[in-house]
Amino acid sequence: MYQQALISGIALGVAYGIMGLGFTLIYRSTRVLNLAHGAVVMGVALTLTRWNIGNPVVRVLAGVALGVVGMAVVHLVFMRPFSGALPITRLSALVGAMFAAGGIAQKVFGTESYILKPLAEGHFTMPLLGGRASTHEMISLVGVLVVVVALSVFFARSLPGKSLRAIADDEAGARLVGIRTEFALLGGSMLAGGLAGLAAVIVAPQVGVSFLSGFDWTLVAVTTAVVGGITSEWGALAGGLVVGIAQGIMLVKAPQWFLTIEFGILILILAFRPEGLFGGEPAVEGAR
Amino acid sequence: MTTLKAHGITCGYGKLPVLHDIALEVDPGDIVALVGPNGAGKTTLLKALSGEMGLTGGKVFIGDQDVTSWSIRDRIAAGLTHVPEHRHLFPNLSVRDNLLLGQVATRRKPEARSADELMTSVVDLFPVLGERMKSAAGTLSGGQQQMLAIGRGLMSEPSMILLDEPSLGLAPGVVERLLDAFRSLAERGVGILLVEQYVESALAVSSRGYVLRSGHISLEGASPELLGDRDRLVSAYFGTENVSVH
Amino acid sequence: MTSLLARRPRGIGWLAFITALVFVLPPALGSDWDSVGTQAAIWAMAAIGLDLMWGLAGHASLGQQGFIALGAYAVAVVTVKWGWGVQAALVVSVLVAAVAALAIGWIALRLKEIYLALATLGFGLMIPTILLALEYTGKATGLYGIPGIPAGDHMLNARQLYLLFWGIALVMVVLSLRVRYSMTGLSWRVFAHNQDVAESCGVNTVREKRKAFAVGAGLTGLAGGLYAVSSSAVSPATFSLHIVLILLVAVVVGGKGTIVGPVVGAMGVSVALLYSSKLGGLTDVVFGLGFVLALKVVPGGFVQTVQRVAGGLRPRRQDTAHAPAVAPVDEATAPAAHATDHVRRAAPTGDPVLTIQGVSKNFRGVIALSDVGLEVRPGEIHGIVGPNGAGKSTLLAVVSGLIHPDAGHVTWKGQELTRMPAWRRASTGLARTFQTPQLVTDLTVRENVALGLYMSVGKGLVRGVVGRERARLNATSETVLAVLDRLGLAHIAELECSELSFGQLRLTEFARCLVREPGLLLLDEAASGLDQAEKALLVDEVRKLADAGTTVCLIEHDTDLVARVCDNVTVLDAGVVLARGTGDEIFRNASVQASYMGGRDLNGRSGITPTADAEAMALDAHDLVVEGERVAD
Repeated sequence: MYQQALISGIALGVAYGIMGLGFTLIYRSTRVLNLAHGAVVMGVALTLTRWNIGNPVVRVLAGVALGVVGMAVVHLVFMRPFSGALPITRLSALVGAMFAAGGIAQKVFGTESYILKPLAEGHFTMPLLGGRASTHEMISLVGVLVVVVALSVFFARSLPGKSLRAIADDEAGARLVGIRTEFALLGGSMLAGGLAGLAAVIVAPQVGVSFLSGFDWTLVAVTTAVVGGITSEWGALAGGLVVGIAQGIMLVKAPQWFLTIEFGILILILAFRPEGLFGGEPAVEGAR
Repeated sequence: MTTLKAHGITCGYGKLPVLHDIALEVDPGDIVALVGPNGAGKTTLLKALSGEMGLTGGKVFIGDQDVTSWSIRDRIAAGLTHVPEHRHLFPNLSVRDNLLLGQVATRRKPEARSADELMTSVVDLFPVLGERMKSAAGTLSGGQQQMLAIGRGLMSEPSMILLDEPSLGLAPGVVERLLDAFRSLAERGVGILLVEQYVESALAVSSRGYVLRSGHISLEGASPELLGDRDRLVSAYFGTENVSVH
Repeated sequence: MTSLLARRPRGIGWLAFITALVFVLPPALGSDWDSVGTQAAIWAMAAIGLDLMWGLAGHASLGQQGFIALGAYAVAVVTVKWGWGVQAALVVSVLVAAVAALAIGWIALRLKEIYLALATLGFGLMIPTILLALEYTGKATGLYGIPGIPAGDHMLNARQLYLLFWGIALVMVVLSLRVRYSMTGLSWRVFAHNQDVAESCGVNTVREKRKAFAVGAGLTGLAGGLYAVSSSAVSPATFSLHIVLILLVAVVVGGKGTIVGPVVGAMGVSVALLYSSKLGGLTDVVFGLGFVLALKVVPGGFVQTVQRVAGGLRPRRQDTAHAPAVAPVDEATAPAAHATDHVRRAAPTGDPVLTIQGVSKNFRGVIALSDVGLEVRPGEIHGIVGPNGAGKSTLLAVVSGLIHPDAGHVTWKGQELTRMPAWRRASTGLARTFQTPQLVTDLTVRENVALGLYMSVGKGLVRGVVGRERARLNATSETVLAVLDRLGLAHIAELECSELSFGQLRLTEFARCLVREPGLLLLDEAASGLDQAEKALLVDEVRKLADAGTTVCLIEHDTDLVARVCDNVTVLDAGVVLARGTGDEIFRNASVQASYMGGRDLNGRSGITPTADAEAMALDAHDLVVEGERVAD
């Protein structure tokens, strides 16, 4: 029974991880908590259920493209106009975006919950661990690992990745060396949008999607990112796994606490290790 | 190699005007000192030249091009680099990455030298950076950080460098090494506008100097002459009501 | 009536406006409004709670639905399960929410703004999930059968409930406005913007932050309790994240920090909700986008915008606002004034009152101060000079307690200050200004200065609300006005600091210290940015203070001013004491002049090229350190 809990937990965790990853990506360059991240994932997932694309590869590509466009819109409408504002104002604008997206989704897609087609059909028994996993979950796990590695390389090696890190480190310095910061930040958001699209094709087949999913997924992304340490890509994946596995166990032991545990973890981390499990930035006021 | 020229520079922060009608010129291969008491507007003037700050009046020329409305990036591409006060390095990035990012504005220019080539010449100038290539910039000592900031500026192959208080917080020996580096850059034809609090050192290394006081140029001339007439220098620096020098 | 914090009690007009709306809206909007209007009163109370927490104290909580849920369930449990009366239940709802706020505040209040928002967000979302899971609170069904409010032998009807709730809301507005205009409210508004300033004026910010958080949450809990009473049933699904959006809209659109604004905002939101059924399910879209638009277009909110417009219609105070601070001093007489006012005071004697011993401080391995020692006598004006980055401001921060040194001691009048929290040092008579004037830009000059009296005016929250404080505030307002008058700031007393010139900002900050009659005054860049007339004024005031026994330490780059005003001068360079002596000794000496101009040459020696007579004086800078005793002679 616990094997099964662990496996469903890991499957959830992988989906959470990819959401946290997109969320941290924007935070790393702009220092904004993108509360609209879940909304973009939701928008992509709902649109894909309408389009009903048979070929999984095409579906993934369509999801990524939709995510890129969606996040670019969020960036231009809800982030850039507030770029000089107080952090809490920037956060508030994205609260507005989150609700607007939910409202639009409700108008267009109604209140039903949809299940997106998995990337592949079938289940199999996990070697070593025991318990059953779906092929979709395995493909997702591999896919997410590839993305994490690719992102690590992007941030560690590529000039655009370094530019984004430079902006996060010292935006004035970045402008001084000639980085076009507005352009780079839009690019960063679009990259995060791509990850949101990927998250959509991974998570929507597992848990379904409705107009309310945007809220849930944003909160999952927030928790995952904070748990992992908000500036680390491996941290986001690890944070996702922590939350996913905790919820997997809860599903088996005490399903009524399924949601409480997510927020409980968020609060506990902020109480005892606000910089995250895997080292992020100092979160306590006055910390140098 | 090109000349940096500015005239009529007027600007400020909100309701606090800082600079009034400043004219200034830096020729290729020249080290020009810009000195003055705290709050005189030295840093603001460099920001106005580099494009970091908008002007309310005046014009900036690089060679014969009017760059007054150009972006920072375009001015870098035209050969003007600003090594700012407080360095503004990227502390979590490695020394190497900091240097690489110094080239973003110019790396696509057809005549640009390769990053490796440029880094080699930076390391020739500051050998200690070669030993710390993989360290995070934030872990360097103050002097090394200043060298990195200058090195990062050199990666754009500038013909003109604006240096804001490179000696701030550095030990005298390190300052001496920096000044040597400035001399050798100038010998290669690079023009340098050097902002300094250390008046004597700055005038000793430069060929010309400007004294900025309360947003006005209160004295300018050839550096040896400025150094020679100490009374005038002190009075330009401290203002006329300064305690007399006996 | 003149009160300290506002020339006339503000908000009375708005209070009348709201009261009028309460009576006008029911006939205007028809019978729908009885229930929606009762809801509006609840929204208004919750919005006031959030405004106290966020608008005044600066803590943007995204977890208000948690406090509302706790308040509502407290009432439900206490009445339905325990059989208590409604009145007692409402008291419990306040207490439960306030205690929860202290608990989550213990985690969240030390975090940076964004993380505080996240912690409260998690809290607000978690509470309903707990209520959903608990058998005792009826899981998804919730609790029902909550009694209404009895009036004689029957329950209040809808219209009566509407009036009662708005009555409560209006009382809450009045009390919250009193908080806003009390010394406590002022201190909240200051630390929301600048914790260092509040601490340096004696505000225990840790305690006050908790207080503000708990009070705001308590009112929000009461709103929840009244919700339970009005709807007679509670269930977890009610307490969704939408509550956060609605409260954010009410507070931001109405006018954050004005108390009345959020109430007007709550009314507007409720009317919008009433008609939202006609929007065909687009409520969230309209609210979400409307909110973002409001953030961009009217960041100050409705109330402030109306005040601006009204202020624009009124004859502008321009004529007085830009009057010269003091009688104009023309260029010819200004230097003369400097020259003649220089009657050298007798050098202060007596044992040192301020002693700094062996103070060292490193920031990430960069040495800011290294074994710095300093002694200052009572009534002495002590100058601290040196180049940028010499450690002057760090030294003042160590004395005022904003930075704790790595080593060394600071004693003042025999008391060990080294580890004392900054706010407690205010009670030992210590006051300071900052390198760039630290004032709250959207408070008036008078309000900014009034915080200086925080230590001497009663500062209890309750006293501020029930009015005992008012009499004393009025008495001390004379002090504020007198000081503003002395500094030539009286005519701008009611201007917001965002409208001041740099020199006026610096003098306002100086005034904030003056009203306290400090025993030890620390001035960082005392005169930079001041014009000649303002400088003369400052010098005059500093001298008067010193003559009255105040000990003054000032950092200043105008060497002329330092030489004229200071009894003794310490030169810092690279975190080390380079020289000390009287002003004349220090600045007449070529060597120190050289070092101050940065003449430290490549070999670390004095860099002045020695001329014939200068050479004789070109001592090594360290030889200039004059022992304290000799200076005093």
